[in-house]
Amino acid sequence: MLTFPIKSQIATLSRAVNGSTNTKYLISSLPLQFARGKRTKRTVTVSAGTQRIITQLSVISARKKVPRVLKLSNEDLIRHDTVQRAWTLFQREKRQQQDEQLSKQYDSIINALEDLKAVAPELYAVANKKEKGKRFPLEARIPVDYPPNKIWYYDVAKDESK
Amino acid sequence: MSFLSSTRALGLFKGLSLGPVIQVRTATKKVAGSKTSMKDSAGRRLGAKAAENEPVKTGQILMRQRGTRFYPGENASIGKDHTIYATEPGYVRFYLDPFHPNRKFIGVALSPELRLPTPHFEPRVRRLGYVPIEDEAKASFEEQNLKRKDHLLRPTILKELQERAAKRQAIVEQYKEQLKTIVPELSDNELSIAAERLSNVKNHLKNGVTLPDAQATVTSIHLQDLKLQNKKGAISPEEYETSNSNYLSLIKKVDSSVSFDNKYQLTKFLTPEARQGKLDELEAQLQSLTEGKGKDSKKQLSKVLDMSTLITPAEKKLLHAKYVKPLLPLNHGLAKSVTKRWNYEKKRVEPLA
Amino acid sequence: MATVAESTSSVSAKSADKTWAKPSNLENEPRAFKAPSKYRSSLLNGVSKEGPPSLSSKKFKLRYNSPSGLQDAFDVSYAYLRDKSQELYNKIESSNENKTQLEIEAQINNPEVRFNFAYNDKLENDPQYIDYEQPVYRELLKQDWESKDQMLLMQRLEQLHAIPDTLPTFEPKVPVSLKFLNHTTVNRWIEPGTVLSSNVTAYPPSIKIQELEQVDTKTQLYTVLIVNPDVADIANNTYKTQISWGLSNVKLEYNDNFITPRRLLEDDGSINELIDYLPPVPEKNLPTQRFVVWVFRQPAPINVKLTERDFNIREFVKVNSLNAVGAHMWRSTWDLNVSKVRELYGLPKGTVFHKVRGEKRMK
Repeated sequence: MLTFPIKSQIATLSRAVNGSTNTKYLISSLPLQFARGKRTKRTVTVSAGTQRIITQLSVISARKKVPRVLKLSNEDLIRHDTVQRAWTLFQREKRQQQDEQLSKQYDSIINALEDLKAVAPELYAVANKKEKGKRFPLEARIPVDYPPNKIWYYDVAKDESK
Repeated sequence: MSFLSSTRALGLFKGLSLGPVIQVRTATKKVAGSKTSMKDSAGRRLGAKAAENEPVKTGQILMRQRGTRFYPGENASIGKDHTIYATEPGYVRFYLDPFHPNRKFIGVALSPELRLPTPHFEPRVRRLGYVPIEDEAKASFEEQNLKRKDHLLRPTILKELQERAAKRQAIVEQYKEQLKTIVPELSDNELSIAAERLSNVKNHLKNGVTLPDAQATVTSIHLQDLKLQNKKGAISPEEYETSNSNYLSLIKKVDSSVSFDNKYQLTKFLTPEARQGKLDELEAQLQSLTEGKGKDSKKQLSKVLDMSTLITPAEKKLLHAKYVKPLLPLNHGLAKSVTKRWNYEKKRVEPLA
Repeated sequence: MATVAESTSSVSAKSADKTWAKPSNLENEPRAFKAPSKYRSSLLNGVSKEGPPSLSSKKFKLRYNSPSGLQDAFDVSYAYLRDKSQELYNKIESSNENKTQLEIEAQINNPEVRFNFAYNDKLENDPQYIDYEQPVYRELLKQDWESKDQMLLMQRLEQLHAIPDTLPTFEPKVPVSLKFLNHTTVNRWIEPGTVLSSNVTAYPPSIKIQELEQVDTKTQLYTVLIVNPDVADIANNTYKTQISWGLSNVKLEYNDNFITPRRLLEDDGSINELIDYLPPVPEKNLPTQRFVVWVFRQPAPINVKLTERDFNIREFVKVNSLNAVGAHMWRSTWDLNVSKVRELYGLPKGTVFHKVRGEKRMK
């Protein structure tokens, strides 16, 4: 004789499998399952086995691997496109401005040196003198939004153990 | 015997600290292994099998090789063991192609004076090769000879064609009858020409072509046919001229006195204004019918719409929406009660709080 | 660009009525620069609570939600793009050089223009929505054409050797579309290279030539030639080229450019038929024949009539200094209808060839 909770569980299982609510015929056709274990409060609609299969199927399904398609109406698609176009145009202009400024800076350096060469050749020679061992300072860093607390480790020593 | 192992030699190197001396004794007798590596197959007879400018036939081998030392050029192809052979009868050419600077090609020029590669922008030189069948009986047999699939399909196609022709003829006859009442002054010959034309126009209309375009297409086909008949001598130039002008005047008469209704039956010609007037009448009738309420009135409305031969399907849909099943506008009564929205998390329509 | 926070003050004013930039001296803006009134409000001011009008089902309309934040981003972007466009119009007014290019740039970001172009028929265009008189629509069509159809055409022309068998090389500039209006079953636009039944091709094709570049449509003339480079030349054991149809002195509008039977019937004699139409009548057992449609811009009117079918297209092009701008092609092979077409055109019975090719060399 089946106890009531088990009976109801099987009924729900069969419903999940067959999509039917008529338990009268189904109970006899299904193999009996005497699963022991701690019963949780969660209302189980499918058995552990079915749930496992569902989980496995859902993992291998193609839909899970592809990001969900953004569903936009025609109007919103055009609006979205407009925003993107504005953003690219804005970025392009910004880039052009920066490039222009940099080239202006470079030109003015060249012009200044040309002038210096004409006015004071000896100063020009000094300005362009090659200094052996002079390198770009390693300490000079690009300004960032979140600089480290200690900028430079001056007394760094070689690790002897290695 | 090893050099270091002799006592004399040891005496020589007495002063040096050599460490422990290892005695090595190399093999002087052959043990095994020579039998397999002494194998050598006979020569594979590789190499060119045809010289430059040599006349060759289709399928003749031009080069046997291991790997693609040479590539097949124009009118040549390559086998699975990289054998190059001719695909056209001609004269062998060994050549380089500027489009593939690291390859050597073997090709077949179709005539002795041609050089390969053919200049890039020049038309290809092509050999026809096909020979006409001289014997008339054989030729007609070959012409009747169909592929298996076509042969099996033919009776069905012929049957369908016959059925279609019969259907067409029936429509033409029907149009003739209708034309007799609408334009009684037409002669028998004119009647059949006009009915034929109208049935053709109907076919184009059914395809969604506009009426003037359909008429023009049918006219141009008829005139083209007349022209061709004149050209091949079936009708004399005078006949051609007269039938041409007769046709043009006939279609002028027919097109200005006949219209199609929405079931492609012929009716008296309606000017756009007259048609609009009739449409207005129909709408007035529908309006009067809507005043009665209940299912019967709806039924009557649908019946009137179904029976009307005047309105196009699109107009019928509009009128149906307006009178038979009036849809309230989407925002009807919405201002007070926009109560439901799509909930993204729970994926369902929910009442708004 | 202003951040969203900065712009919110002006957003409310903007979303009430959005109008794109226009030249100051313009009274009537072209109709095609406005989206249909049904969609306009939801396109510019956001989808309302009733849902987007482009969805037909009431259920989906109700379910639809616009992405959050799109409204603010769109308002800012619209204002930014409109200002840029106004700058371009001001530039056009101050100097007259590069006018067409600037006009294109001034309108190409207009969401209404993009909406019209995206959701209307591009080939059989309604000038109310897609007006090819406007350079911006021609530019959009060009981009659309180059993204697929132009490449497809070139692939077919090259792989089927229309180039170089007819003309040496070709740079397509004008989309050409083909339809056989006489036929009521195959009543569709033909894809380049399709093999067509001889029944379909029994009467001349209708050709749509959509000019994209800025030309003077009042004076510019076009030539259309249909050539068949696969006619058997039994005497020389090779193939020769024949002309199937030729038209010259064809004038094309930007919006009215379909050479149909109707147009040819109603023509006032300006179009010169170089030679009348000879339909494809391939012979039994010969390979598929190619019919290449070439469209040229002519520098001067051509009023000659051709008497011979045998045709050297390269020489004709050189003599008349034609400029090939568009092309199309279809293929034909022997079928049971060929004999009927031959009878209709009063042509002699077709030659039947042996299935197997002979070994006779070319001279």
